[in-house]
Amino acid sequence: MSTAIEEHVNSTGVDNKKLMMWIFLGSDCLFFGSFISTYLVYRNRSLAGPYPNEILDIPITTVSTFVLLMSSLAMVLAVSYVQRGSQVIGRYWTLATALLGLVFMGFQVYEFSHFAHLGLTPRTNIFGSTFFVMTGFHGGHVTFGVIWLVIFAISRLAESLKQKLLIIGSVFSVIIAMAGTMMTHTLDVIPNIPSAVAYSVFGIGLIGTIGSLYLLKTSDTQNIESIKKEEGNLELAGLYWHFVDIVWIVIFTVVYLISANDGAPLL
Amino acid sequence: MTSKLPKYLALFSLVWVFIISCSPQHQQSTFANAGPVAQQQSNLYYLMFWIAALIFVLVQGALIFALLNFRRREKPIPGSDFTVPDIPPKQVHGNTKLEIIWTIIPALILIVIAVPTVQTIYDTYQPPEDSDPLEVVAMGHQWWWEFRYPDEGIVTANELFIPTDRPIRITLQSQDVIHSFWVPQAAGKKDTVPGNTNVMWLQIDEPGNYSGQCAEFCGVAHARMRFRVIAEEEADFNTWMDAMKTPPKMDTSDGYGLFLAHCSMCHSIDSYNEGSYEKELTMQDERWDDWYFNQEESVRVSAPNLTHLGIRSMLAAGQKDMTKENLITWIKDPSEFKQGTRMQSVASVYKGGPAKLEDHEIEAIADYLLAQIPDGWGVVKTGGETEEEVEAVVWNTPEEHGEYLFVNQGCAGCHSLNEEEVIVGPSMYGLYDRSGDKVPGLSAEEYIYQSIVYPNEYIVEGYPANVMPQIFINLSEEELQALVSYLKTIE
Amino acid sequence: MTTISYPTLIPRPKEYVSGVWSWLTTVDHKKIGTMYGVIAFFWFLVGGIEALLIRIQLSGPEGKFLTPEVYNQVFTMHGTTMIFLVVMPLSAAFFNWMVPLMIGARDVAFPRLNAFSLWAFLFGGILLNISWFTGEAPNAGWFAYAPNTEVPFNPKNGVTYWILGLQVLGIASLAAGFNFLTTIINMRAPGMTFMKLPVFIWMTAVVNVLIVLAFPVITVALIQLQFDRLYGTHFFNPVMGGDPVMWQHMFWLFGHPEVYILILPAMGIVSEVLPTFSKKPIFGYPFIVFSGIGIGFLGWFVWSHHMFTVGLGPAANAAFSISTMLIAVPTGVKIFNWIGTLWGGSIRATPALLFSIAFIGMFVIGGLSGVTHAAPPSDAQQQDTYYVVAHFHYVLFGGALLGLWSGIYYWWPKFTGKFLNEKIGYLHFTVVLIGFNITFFPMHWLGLDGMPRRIATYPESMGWEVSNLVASLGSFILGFGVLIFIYNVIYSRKGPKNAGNDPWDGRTLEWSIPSPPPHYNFETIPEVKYRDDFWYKKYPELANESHGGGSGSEEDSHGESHSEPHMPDPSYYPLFLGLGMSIMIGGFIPFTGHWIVCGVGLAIFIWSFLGWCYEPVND
Repeated sequence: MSTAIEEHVNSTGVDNKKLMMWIFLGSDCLFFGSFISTYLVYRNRSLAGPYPNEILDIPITTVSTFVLLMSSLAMVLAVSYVQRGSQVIGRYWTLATALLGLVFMGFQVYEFSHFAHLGLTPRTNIFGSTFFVMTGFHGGHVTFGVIWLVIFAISRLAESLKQKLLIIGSVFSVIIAMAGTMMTHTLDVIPNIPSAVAYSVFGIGLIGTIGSLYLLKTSDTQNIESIKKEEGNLELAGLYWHFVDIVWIVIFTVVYLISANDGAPLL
Repeated sequence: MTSKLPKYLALFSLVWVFIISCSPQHQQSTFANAGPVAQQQSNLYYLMFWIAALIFVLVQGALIFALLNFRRREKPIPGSDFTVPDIPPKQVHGNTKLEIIWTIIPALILIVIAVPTVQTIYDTYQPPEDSDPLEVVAMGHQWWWEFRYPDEGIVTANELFIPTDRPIRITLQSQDVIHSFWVPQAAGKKDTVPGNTNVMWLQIDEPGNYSGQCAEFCGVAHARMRFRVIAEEEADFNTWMDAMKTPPKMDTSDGYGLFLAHCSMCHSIDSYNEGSYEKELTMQDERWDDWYFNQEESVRVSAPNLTHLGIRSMLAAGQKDMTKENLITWIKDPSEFKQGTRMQSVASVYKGGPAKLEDHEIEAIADYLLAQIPDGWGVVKTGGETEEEVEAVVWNTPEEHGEYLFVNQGCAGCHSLNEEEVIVGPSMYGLYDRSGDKVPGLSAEEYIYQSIVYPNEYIVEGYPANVMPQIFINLSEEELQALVSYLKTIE
Repeated sequence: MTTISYPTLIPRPKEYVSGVWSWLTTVDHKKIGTMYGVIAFFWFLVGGIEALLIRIQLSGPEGKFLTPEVYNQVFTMHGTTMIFLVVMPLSAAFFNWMVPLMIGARDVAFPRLNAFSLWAFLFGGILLNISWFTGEAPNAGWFAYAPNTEVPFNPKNGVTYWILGLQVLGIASLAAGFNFLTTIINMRAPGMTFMKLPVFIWMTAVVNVLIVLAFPVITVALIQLQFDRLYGTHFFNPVMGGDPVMWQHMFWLFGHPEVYILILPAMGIVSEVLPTFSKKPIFGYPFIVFSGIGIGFLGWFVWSHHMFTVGLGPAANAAFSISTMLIAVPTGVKIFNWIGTLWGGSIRATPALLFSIAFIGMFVIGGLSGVTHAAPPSDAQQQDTYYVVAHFHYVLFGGALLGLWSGIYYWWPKFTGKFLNEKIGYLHFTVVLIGFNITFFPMHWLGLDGMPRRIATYPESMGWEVSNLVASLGSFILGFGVLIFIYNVIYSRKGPKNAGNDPWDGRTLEWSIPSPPPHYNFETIPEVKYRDDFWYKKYPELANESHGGGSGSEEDSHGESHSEPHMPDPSYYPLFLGLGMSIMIGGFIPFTGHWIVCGVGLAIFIWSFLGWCYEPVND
């Protein structure tokens, strides 16, 4: 904010924004807590199928969970490198966090459309209602985090227009690659796509990703001190990101581990 | 002075208001206890009230005393123009001993309240174990009450007959939204929650007529969702119970046909029959499902059972006395007594407005309903006509007989005779021509016959099932044949 | 830095000293507080008119003044308005004005976020009330019990307006909650440790903790209800296995802390007014503070006492009954400490003090009747009757609103530099108190006499006529009392600015600066040694006999002064962010073409969000 406010000596020594982020996360705990409690209360109350044991694909979700966990690791490294004033590596890890988050979202898109194909929508039964709304709002949080990190990388960690475009390019390439993957793997959702086309789309995306990331390695000389100044802001994003990650671990435990065997209610 | 005045005035007005309103014992007073449950609840309230009154006097007294006694004193010094300066009083910051005292004393008082509270919770939860409670199911509907006696196989509405001096265990359910069953003189309320089943009990010691009301906001006619509990001596209650299982005197008036045509899709009226209890439960669910899932298109919704309506004392969920005049007004335009009824918005005879019936038709229905009195029921409570005119008519042909039945049994209420016109069910125009190939193996006559007697065996495409009442099985063989011959002629 | 997404379409306004734009773009907590107050007072009048409509309808049996449908809309909107558009924002007006002044700060931690809260509150209120003009006002009560709020039973858009309006208001409250908590934790003047905070600040902190933790719960419940209504999910639909009781749990898990969100600010105000006008420190400061925290904490474990008749079983009812009774203990401690504060004081009975005294008196009545429905068997007779209506009006009107009025009379000189006329103030006080009691006291009796709440009318012969008529007459006296207050405000505006910095011989920091305060509040950030620091600066000799503040400050003197403090510039973005968000959320109401409206809102939202993020900080 502005000077008079910033100059004010903080009573606790914690930056105002960081303090507010913690308060926000406390509030968000109750937000997800409410969704998760609803899910738990409504376990085994669906009056019609498909039930969790017929539809949940634990191996795939385990992979996506692993991806999200790795993004948290990337986030830690990003903050750490930015703290040390290393622009290039810090930028790579920031971007890696965002791209891994994007991949996680890809898994969710796949999962949602796959479930819909198997006949589970929010309208089907109470499991569908609780599952889609809860994981959907979590996905919304991840998406917001991805956008935040990408914009942060573009505006604070890149200098030239070329670098900014490369960052955007890498994001779109990952999206294209994911689209290609989905075309190859779930042909029942998007019918009538020749696999050759699908593989080409995937290939284009992959090449785009690798290419843009490779080209990003060149660095403009940026003042180390000015990069270090961004550390506080990146840390805010980091707090948020780790929180969203932890929430997913809880959701994963509750939905995919605890209630994976839930079938028709024993009335 | 100015500051004292409002206090006194306020206090005075409170006392005044209290006195004028306290005196009479009103019909829904929570203090006019008619049974043990309400009595225990009141006792707990009295305990808390007197404790609260004591605390009230002490705290308000201390407050007013402090306000009056510790006013700032700017006394003029006698004989001069100066006043004593406003010296800050002694700066007291607190007193730990006091704090502990006034933390512990309220806590102790609360224990005095909490112990009987918990005891009463458990005492009023279930009827006493050695008692033999009467089982009753109370279902809240928008906006009337259905009462079932599962052990007796009786269904009735808006008037709950119970024996005195016997616990009544009430199972509370709802099909639509949350309501709350409350008879203040007998017991505190409990909600009827759709999807959940609640249980409460009550007992009434003195015979009488007790007023009850839905206490949970349930939509537009919430204020009109009242009911009666009629407590009677065991013997009188048993008389009533037996009467409920006795059919009324046979009635073949015009009203019967009109009732069948316009009312019988939702209102059952024959719960004195063997097996009608189970049928009513199923029908009520079907009617409700039909409304819930079809909404605007629906012509049915769950509705009060009207069996032996003639012996009820109130109509429209406790709104008005059961007189012919009121009943006619009610049938003509329900919104006169109760706005927003499902009857008026759903039934095809209303569809939102006043009934599309002639005055004499409405009167005929009212007469018919008021004549629903168990055969041999001693007292006729209403101004319904007691002398029935039985016409002895001789039919020249079965077709003529069938035509009479078609109108008087209510078929004409749903089935038109013109091409393309659909009232509720399919038009009868050209029925015979298309009946032959409906069901393989059935001739046109057989098909028509079956559709009258067992309407759900075959449903014409585009029409919902379970709409046509399955009551024409009660017609005699001769009457059925007459109907079939008549229907064959419509071309 | 050359960024590609640098929306400089609207530059940050340099300086709007006066005029409409100075209000629309302001980030000054005092102006924002004033606007909160004015807007909330407007809604108070709207809610009051709704209340009068209710009382006209019920003044006699078989009332025909309103149709049942309209009656349901009116009582729903009366409750919703009074809670979300009156008491909460009036409290927020005091938070805005007083928090920075009392803790010795120049503004809140996030001035633009603060402005955003205000605008979101304004547009949320408008969104909620637009429903009147489309003829579909919410009609399911402020508690919106499912399944009466589900589409089959409530096909019109009223409940959807209610859901979305509340979402916007919830976001406004949450943003304000984050802001005030950060401010209180982080922006205190040097030396002002937590145990030296004024009690009002403590209560503000507790309230905002409650807001931050309770609003997400209702947000989720509203999302679920909205999905049920608009997208066919089954959260509260018993036909598909949903449970209507779940809505009640979530609503009251929010709703009960909400009750304390409404009452604690008034308790804080009273705790400031009483010491000032009895010239004594607050009695038992730590006990007052910790009882406030205790109330806020216990408030999370009592929600099911709103559901004693739902059928949770005897064990749950007993447990929630006892936890509810426990709350009486800290509440009692507060009341006794307030009396202790008056005791032995040198009391000046100004209108502010009288309102505070009346607060205690009325709150005691409300509290005692509250205990009688903490016991489930007794509550079974009282639940959903006028007895409960009487109870919570004694707590919310007799409590919260009288407390807030006390604050208005107390701080008005600080807000404007002028006094509110004292004589008119006494008249206002007298009429309001009498009208209030005549209106609501008979309702106790009505409830015990079996009159349920939320009934549009009642038949003759129930014996409720007299009490209802008395209550209706009282409500007009009460309405007249409000008119006197308006007259007082208008009358006092003409008076001279003669209040001075410290008209009441105050105790806390806000009285050490000019009235009205300059936009930077404190020329020099004060250094605090004692609780009630300003008082002991005025009367150093009293400091010795006190043990209230401890000696000196542990954290010493890094708050040096700036003679020309530079305050944040105004900004357009809070206004547009609030507008865009409200349009976007309003666009979910399913009228024809609503997605276009939603899209327009989204566009404004994104544009102003980016604009906000990239707005240059001006140093």
